[in-house]
Amino acid sequence: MRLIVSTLFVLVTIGLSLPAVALDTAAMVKILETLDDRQRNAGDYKTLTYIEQKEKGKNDLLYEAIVYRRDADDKFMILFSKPKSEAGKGYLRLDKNLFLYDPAVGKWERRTERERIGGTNSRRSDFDESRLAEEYDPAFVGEETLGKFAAYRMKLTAKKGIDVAYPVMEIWVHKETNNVLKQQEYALSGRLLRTSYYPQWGKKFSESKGQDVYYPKQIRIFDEVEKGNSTTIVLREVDLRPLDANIFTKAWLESKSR
Amino acid sequence: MIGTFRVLVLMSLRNIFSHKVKTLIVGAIMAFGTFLLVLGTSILDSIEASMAQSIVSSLAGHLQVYDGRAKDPLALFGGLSFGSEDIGEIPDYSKVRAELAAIPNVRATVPMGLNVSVVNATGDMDRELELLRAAVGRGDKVAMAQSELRIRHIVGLLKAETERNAVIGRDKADLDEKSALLDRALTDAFWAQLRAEPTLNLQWLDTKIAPLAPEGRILYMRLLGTDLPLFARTFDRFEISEGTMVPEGERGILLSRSFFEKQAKDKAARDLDKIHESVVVKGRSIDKEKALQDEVARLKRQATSLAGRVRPESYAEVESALRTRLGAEDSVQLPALVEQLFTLNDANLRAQHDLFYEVVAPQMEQLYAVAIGDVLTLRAVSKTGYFNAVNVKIHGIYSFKGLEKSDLAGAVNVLDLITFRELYGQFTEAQQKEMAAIREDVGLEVVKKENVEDALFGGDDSLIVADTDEGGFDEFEGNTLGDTGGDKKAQVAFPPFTQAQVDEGLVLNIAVLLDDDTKIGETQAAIAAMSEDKGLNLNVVDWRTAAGIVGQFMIVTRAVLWIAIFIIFLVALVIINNSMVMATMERTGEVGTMRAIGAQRRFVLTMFLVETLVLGAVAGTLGALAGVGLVTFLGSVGIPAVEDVLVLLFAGPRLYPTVGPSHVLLALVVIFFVSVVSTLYPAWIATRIQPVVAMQRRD
Repeated sequence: MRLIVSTLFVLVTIGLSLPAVALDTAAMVKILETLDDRQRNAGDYKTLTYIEQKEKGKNDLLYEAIVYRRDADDKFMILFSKPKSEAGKGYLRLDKNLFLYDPAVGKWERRTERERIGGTNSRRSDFDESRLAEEYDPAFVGEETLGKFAAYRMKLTAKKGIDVAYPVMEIWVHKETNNVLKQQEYALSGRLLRTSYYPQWGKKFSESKGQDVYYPKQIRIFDEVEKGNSTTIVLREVDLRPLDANIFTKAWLESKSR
Repeated sequence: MIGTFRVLVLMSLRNIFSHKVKTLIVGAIMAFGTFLLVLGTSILDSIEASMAQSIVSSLAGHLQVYDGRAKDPLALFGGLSFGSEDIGEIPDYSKVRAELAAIPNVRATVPMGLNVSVVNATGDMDRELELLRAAVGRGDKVAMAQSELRIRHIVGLLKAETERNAVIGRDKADLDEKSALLDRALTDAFWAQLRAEPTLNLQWLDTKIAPLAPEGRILYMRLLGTDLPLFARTFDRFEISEGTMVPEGERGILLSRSFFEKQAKDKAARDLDKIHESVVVKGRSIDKEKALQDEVARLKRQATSLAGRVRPESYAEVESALRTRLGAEDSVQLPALVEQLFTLNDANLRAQHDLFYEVVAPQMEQLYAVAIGDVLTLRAVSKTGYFNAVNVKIHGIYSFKGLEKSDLAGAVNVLDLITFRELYGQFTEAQQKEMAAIREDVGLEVVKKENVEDALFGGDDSLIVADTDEGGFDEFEGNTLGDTGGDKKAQVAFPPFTQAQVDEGLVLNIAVLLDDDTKIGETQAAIAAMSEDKGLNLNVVDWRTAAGIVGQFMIVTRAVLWIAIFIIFLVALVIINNSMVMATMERTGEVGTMRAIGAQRRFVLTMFLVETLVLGAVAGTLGALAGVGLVTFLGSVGIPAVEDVLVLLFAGPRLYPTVGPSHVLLALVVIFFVSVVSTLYPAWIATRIQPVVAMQRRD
C-alpha cells in the first residue's frame, strides 16, 4: 500500500512539475479554425454596436452603429446611426476593398485595412468575421492564466501576400471553450500597438447555420502607443435573420443616408 | 588746457606711428569690429523692417487677439504642434470687434480661424468610375460613352504594364490573375453587360479593376477662415493671381499659389521643376552631383505612370510629337518616350523641360489635382473630435505681392468663415446632452488598464452567455437614420449668407491693424487693459510673437549676432590689452623720464587713453566707412533670397539693406568703450612707474 501511495505521489509530483505540453501547428490551426468557424454565420449577420473612444485631453467619441455581414461573400458594412452628426456615414467592404461614405459631401473614399473606424482605435477586423486561420500562421508561446481562466498563448504571423491591419499578433485562447480572451497586436518592427480583451462571448442559434454563432459581447482595446487612450466596443443586439439581397452596395448605403 | 590736450594728441600720434606693429594689430581689430557692427546691425534692421512689412501686411496685422484660455500659443505660420494647436475660441466676434474699435490707434480688425484639413485627391480610375456612376445615375449616355473610353484607356495601360512586368519575371500567378481581370474589362461584351446591368458591373470595376490602378493622393491644407472681402481690403499685398474673388455672401476657397504649385501639381511635373530650378536658378550640376542624378532616376521611374495620365484622346498625338522631337523610332511607345524625355543632363535639361511643358503637360488629365471651379471636399477633425467634411468651391488662386515665391507667406489657403465654422464644428450644448444620453443608455463600466485582467476575468460572470431571443431588431425604428433632413444632403450650392452671420459668430483669432505702427506696445497694453476691464479674457500679442517660429527668427538671429560681436570684442579686448601692456613695458624709460621731469600720474593715464582713443577713432572710422560702403553697395544690387524662408524675411526676392547714422554711431560708441576699457590696465601700470626705477633699468 505504501508503495502504491509513494508511486502515486511521485507520479503526481512529476506530472505537476512537467512544463505545459506545447501545441503542435496542426492543433493550433485547428483551434483557429474552430474559433473562426464559431463566429461565422452561414447566412447574414447584423449587430447593433456601441463604440466609445477615450483619449487623453480630448472629448470622448461615442457611436452607435449597425454592422452588417454576409460572411459567405466576405461582405461587410458599418452604418453609423448615432450621434446625429455622424448618422448616415458608413463603411462598405467588398472583396478586399474598404470604402467610406460621408453623406455631408456625398462622396465615397477608398480606405485601407489600417483605417481607424470613425477615428477610433478600432479596425474593420474588430467588427468583421474572424479569419485567423486563413490570414495567419500560428506558433505556440505557452500557457498562461488570465484571472480565473487558463489559456493557450499563441503568436500569429500574417501569411504572405495577405493585407491585414496587423502583421503580427499574440492571442490568448481559453483552453476549455476555445474563445479568445486577449489579443495583442504588433507592428512589423515588433512594437506593441494595441492590447484587446474579450471579457464575454455571446452565442445565438442561427437558423441558416443550424448551430450557434459566437460573438464578442464586449471588446476592450487599450492603445499601447498613446498610453491612456482606450476604445470599447459593445455588441448590444445581434440579429441573424436574412438581410435584403442588395444591401451590400454603395447605392443602398447612400439611400439610407438621405 | 587746450595746450595740454594738443600735446597729448601729438604725443599719441607720435606713439601710434612709432609702434607700427602694435598699431596695425590693434587698429585692424578695431576696424574689423566696427565694420562688423555697422554691417550686422544695418542688415538685421533692414531684415526686421522687411519682415514686419511682409508679416503685418500679409496675414498677421500689427497685433493678434485670441482667447486667454488658449492651451497653446498662436502661431500663424505654423508652430510646434503642426496645426493642432488649441488657441481657444472667441464665441462672438462682433462683441470683441466693437470693443477693439473703441481703442485709439486701431484702424481695422479682421476675424480669423486656423485649421488643418485633408483633401483626398482620388486616383484616375476612381475618379473616372465616380463620373461613370454619376452618368449612369443620370442616364447620360454621352457621358457614359466618354467615361467608357477613358476607363478602357487606363485599363489598356495597366494591361501593357502587366505585360512588361511579366517579361521581367514578376510573380506569374498574380500577373496572370490581373491580366485576366484586365482582359475582361477591355472586352466589348463586358461594356455591353455594364450598360444592361450597371450596378453589379460598376461594382466589379470598383472592386476588381480600380485596386490595380495607381492610388490617389492625400493633400494636407492649412486653412484660414476669414471675412474674405474684408481680408482682401485690409491686407494690401493680397492679390488674386488667377480666377476670381469669392463673391460677397458666398462660400468659397482661394488656394495659395504656393499650395497650388507645390502640392496640387502632378508629382512628376513638380520633380522636373525642382531639378530645373536646382540647375538653372541655383547653378547646380546633374553631371557632377550624385544627389541630382538620384532625383533624375526617381523622375524616370515615374515615366510610365505619367504616360497613363495623358488624355486618351491626345495620347497618339503626344506620342507622335515626342517621337519626332526626340528622334525616336516609330515602335517606341509613350512610356518609353517620357522616360527618354526625363533622361536629363546639364546639356539637355532646359530643352527637355520646355519640351515637357510644350507637348506633354497641356495634354495631361490633371496637371493639377485641383482646378479653379472644382468643388473640394475638405476633411478635418472637428472640435467635437469627429471628422467633419464640407464641400467648397475653388474660386481662385491668390498670392501676396512680392512674396509669391515664399511657401511660408502662402502657408494658408483662405476660405469664408461660414464654411470654416462648419468644418471646425463647435461642440454645442445639445451635442453634449446627446452624448450623455447615449452613454447613459449603454451604462458601460470604466475599467482601468492597471487591473484589467482581474476586473474582466476575475469575477463570477460566465465567459459565455446564451442569447435566446429568436427575433432581431429594426435599426430604422426610432433612430436618426432616414430622418437626417436637409443638413445631411451632399451640398455643393449653398444659400448666400449675410454679413451679420459672418460677424455674429465664432472666430479663433482677430488681426488688429493700427494707424501708427510706432505705437504697437501702447496699443497692445490698451487692448489688454480693455480685455481685463470688460472681462473678455483675451491674449494680445504683437506680430512677431503671432508669427510663431518665423517671428522668433529675428530674436535668435539678433542674439547670435550680438554673441558673435561680444566674443570678437572680448578677444579684441584681450589682444589690445596685451599689446598695450607690452608697449607700456617698452616705454618704461620714456614714462619714467616724463615722471622725473614733472609729469603727473594723471597726465600719463590721460596720455595712454588719448592714444587709444585716437587709434580707435581712426580705425573705427575706417571700419565704419567700409561697413557703410558695403551696405550701400548691397543696397543697390540687393541680397538674393536663396531660400524660401528668406523671401518672407526679405519681403520679396531680394533684400535692399540701408544704413543710417544710428548704426555708425552705435558702432563707434562700442569701439570707443572697448578701447578705453582695454587701455585702463596698461595705463594704470604706466602711472605706477617710478622715475628712479626707470632710470635704473636704463642703466
